[in-house]
Order: sequence, then C-alpha cells, then structure tokens
Amino acid sequence: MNKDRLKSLLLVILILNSVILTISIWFNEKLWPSGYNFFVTLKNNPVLSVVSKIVPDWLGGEKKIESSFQDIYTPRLLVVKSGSHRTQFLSMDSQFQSLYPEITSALKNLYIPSNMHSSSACEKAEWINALKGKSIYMDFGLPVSTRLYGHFLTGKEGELSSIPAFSKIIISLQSSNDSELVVFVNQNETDSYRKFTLSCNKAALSSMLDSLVMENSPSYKFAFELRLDAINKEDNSNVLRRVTPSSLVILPQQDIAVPNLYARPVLGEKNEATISEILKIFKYNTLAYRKLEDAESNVLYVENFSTLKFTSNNFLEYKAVDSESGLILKNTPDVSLSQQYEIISYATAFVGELWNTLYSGSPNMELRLSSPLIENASGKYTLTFDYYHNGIPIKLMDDSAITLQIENGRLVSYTQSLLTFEKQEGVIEANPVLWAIDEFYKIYSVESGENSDKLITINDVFLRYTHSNGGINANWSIKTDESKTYTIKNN
Amino acid sequence: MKKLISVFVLIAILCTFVSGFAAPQTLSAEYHGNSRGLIVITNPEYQKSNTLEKNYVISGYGNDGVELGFYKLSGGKYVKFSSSLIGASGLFMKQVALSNGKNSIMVVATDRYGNTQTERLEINLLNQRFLSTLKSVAANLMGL
Repeated sequence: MNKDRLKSLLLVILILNSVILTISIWFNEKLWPSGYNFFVTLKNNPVLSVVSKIVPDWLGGEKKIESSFQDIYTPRLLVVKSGSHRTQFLSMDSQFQSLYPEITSALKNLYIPSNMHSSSACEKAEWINALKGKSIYMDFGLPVSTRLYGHFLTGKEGELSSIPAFSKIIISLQSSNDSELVVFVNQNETDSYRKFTLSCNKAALSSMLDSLVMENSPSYKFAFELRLDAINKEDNSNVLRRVTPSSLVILPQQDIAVPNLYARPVLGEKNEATISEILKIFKYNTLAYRKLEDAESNVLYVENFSTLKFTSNNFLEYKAVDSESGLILKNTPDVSLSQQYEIISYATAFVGELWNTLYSGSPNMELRLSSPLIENASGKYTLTFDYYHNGIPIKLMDDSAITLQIENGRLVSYTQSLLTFEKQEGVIEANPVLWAIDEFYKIYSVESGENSDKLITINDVFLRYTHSNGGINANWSIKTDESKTYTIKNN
Repeated sequence: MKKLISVFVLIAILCTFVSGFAAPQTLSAEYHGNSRGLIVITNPEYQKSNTLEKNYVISGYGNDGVELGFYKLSGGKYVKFSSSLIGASGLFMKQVALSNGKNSIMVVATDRYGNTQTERLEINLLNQRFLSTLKSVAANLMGL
C-alpha cells in the first residue's frame, strides 16, 4: 500500500473516531457539565432512542432489570394451617420457596376482573375466622402498594378496590369448592378488611399445603387462638390485666434454637478486584477518578460528580455532589406507576448487583426491603434494606444495612454495611417467648413510671439477631402499640 | 449441740411451711381451692370443650408470682404433670398432650399467701376420622 493510501486510511479512522466520541459526549449524560441539557429532548427523539437501544452502553441507554430482586415483593413469613396443625415458614425455608410461587399464581387473579366473583368489606371477626380453618397467612412486615404489587404479579398496572396499601393477606382454603378461592386483605395499619372471592383452581395449592405441614412441624399459635387478645368481660377485678398481645401476634409453642453467628468484613483478600467491580457498578471511569486516604484511614474514590468511600469501620458510602449529578438508575420523564415500579426495580437491581459482587460467598445471607413499598409521585425515594440470616433479621448498630436515596431516577446517596454474617459452631437457645414478654413488661413498667393499671398491647414478637460491640446474639424483639420496639436480651 | 438441734428443727419447720404452700403431687378428685381472682383461663373458653389438637394449649392470665399446678385425673385422683410460675406480664401458656376422648384437667393457682384457686376443665379430643365422618355427612345433607 503506498503512502497516500495509508494517510487516507488513517484520516478516515481518525474522523470516524472523533464522530463516535462526539456522539458519546452528546448523548451520555454522565459526561455533560452541570446544567447542560440541550440534548435531553434530542435523546428522547424516537429515532435516536432506537439508536440508544442498539448501542446502550455508549449512549447511557436502558439498564436491564434483574429478575433476582422480585424478592422485595415476598412476605417475610408465612403462617399456614392444615388440619389441626399450624406452623410457620420463614423466607429462606425450602417450604416457603416451594409454596410462594403457587401463592403468587393464585393471587394474580385478584387483578383479573373476569376472575373476580365478588369483593366486599368485611369485619375483623371474619378476617380472624378465616385463619381458624385451612389457610395461609402472609405477613409482609411493611406497607406494600396494591398497585405496585399488582404490577409485580401481572406486569401491568392494576388496582385493588379501596385498598391503597396492605401488609397482610390471608388465603382461605376452607371451602370445599376447588374452583373458588377466598382472599382477605387488610388495609395497612387500619381495621379495614376486604374479602375477595376469586375464580381459581386451588387444588394444587391446597395439596401442596397438606404435604408441607407435618404433625411434627414446629407449632405456632396466634394470640386469638388462645384468646389472649380479648378482654374478658367477666374478668374478676382482682386479676389485673397488664399485657395483651394483639390477635395476630404469633406465639411459638416450643423452644427455638438458631445458628450461632459471627461477623467479619466482607471485603477480604480479594479486596482490589472486588473494589474494582464496585467502582464499575457505580460507573466510575478508571481513568477519571482519584484515590485518596483520609486521616481516619477511610479510602475515598473521588470523581467529578460524586465520592465513593470505603470506611475503616466497614461501610461503603456513595454521595453525589448534588441531586442532578447522581448515578442514573432510570430516565424519568414522568411519574406514572410504571415509571415508579421501574425506578424501584432498577434501584433494587442496582442493590442486587452490588449484593452479588459482595455476598456471592454467603449463601445463607439474605437481603430484604425494610422501607414501605409505596408509590411516591414526588420522585424522591428512601429505600432501606436489612440483612437476614436463614430468614431471621439482623439488627446492626447503625440501623439499616443499606440505605439508598433516589431523586428523579438518580442515585443521590448510598450507604451499605460491609459486614457478612456466617455460622459458627453451636446454636443460640432463645429463651421462651413468655419469658421475653415478662422481661419486656418489667422494663416497660419501670420506663413508663406509671402504676400497673395501664394495659399495654403487644403488636409483634419476633426473634432477631443483634450485632453490637459485644458480638452477636439472638434476642426477642417486642413491638408495642406505642410504636416502640424493645429488644429483650437473651440470658 | 442444743443449738445445732434447734437450728435443724427451725429449718424443718420452715420447710414445712414452704412445702405446705407448694402444690402437692396428687390431689383428691374433690379438691377445691379457697379463693377466686388469682387467674383467668382464656383457653379453653368453656369448662367443657372439644378439640382436634392432640397438643392442646391451656392459656390465660393471672397475678405476678402465682404458682400454677396442672393436674390430670387418673385413677380417681388428680396427678400433677406440670407446673409454672406466672411472670410480670401475667400471661401463661401450657401445652398439654391429650389422650383420645375425655381429658379431665385441673389447674391449681396458689399465691404467696397460700390462697388457692382451682379451675376444672374437660377437654374432649376428637379424632380426625370422626371429623371426616362429620364432613361427609354434612356434604351428603347439602347434596339432598
């Protein structure tokens, strides 16, 4: 090839290169200086949006939703009854994982009008009665938007009449009619209940329940079954009632032993490689950031629009310079339900990507959403997640394990505890639940300083790992009707 | 030596007082307490009840510090099978393994002053076959 041809070829390559780089700068929002938005309209142009789908990474295009984070829509536990036996499955139990797909398949019918035979308000007594027979009780542990849940179940918008959000659902399998399913939904934190009769073949769900509930399964009772929730009208005034559990407080009837755990930093020997992966997830350009170490031995990665910090006390902290500079999770031209569903899905997929990078070697660890799953037309979200081990939550010293703040589809801040919890030898034998309720009352009565005439209602009792400087213990947590949670230390 | 004997006698007397208040291992079928208002039994709701649950839970509430003795009627006497102490919350729950058919159970509550309250319960354990028979009869009747 002669010199002229070579020169021409080189020139063509250079021109093409500059055109491609220019397009990248024009349409990749991360490279825009603050306030520059001329090409926003252009990018949303139908023709160019097709181009952005073909070359997504170059043009900051659409991010795929990871399917692994459908978990945010699963309840924290199932309490099931078959025959005369009632037991509980936590989210990591194999029985839970077998049963839940059948449950979601049945619940889809809530959002299919042609399968809805009837829908009516009902009283608490009917809600409670549904649990006396064969049933599945689902406790999500936080408010869930019925519209978002419908989107999760059916892939499109759907409403559930008169109920904006729920936290508990009961599926009643008492009826002998196999082609009909009765579902009760409790409007979150109210005494408002709704009963739905659906056209649905429940034979598979019913027989799966029979196979999973064994006579020797651990036994649990709701407080209403023991009538500990009701005030006895014929009560002798000499017997002072101090504590009453609310109707759906679950009381285990046997001793509980849980694995003994220890905590260690999740960033171990494969430090640099993992950090490099994390930087990629946060879209840090390896040529553009600066690495610093501050006086407190925290390692900082700083780029134009944000800072990523690995603290010496095992935290990961990301902070954008301002709300318009944060990492784009999803372009948000509007705040329709679909967009909100996608924002939450993208946010949880982002968390999931980090989770997979950091916790792939921790099979018993689980991440669950702990903030309300509610639509927010303002475009601002604060999502929190907690760590779980084998279905039991872990309370960290500094509150939530992960906190994200999102504004208009951008990640503005992100904090994550970089600890992992693993089994060690032995088990922790939890004290009986009644002992915990007794201890709670001792603390409460001293704290409140009132005389013992006041009746306090317990809304929830559950086992939780507590991580503190003294190590990890499994303690009972008791939530009262005064919206306070007491941790009762195991002895 | 005399002092030693006096000490032993004193201890023996004290033990008698203590053991006198502790619920005995057996009680006669006619035994009744001398008080009301120490405990309230919430489950079962009535003195006579039927259940399908082999492991039945007797529950209720009472005054802090009340000792509970659980007895089953056997051979004309009530024989103690379990005991517990009511704590600060006042709640109690006791799981009882029932035999098929009628189970006569007595709960004896004793406070620190020696007052006792007795609650007699008759819990009939039905078997699943009986329930299936009932259900099929009901289904047949509905068919008619």
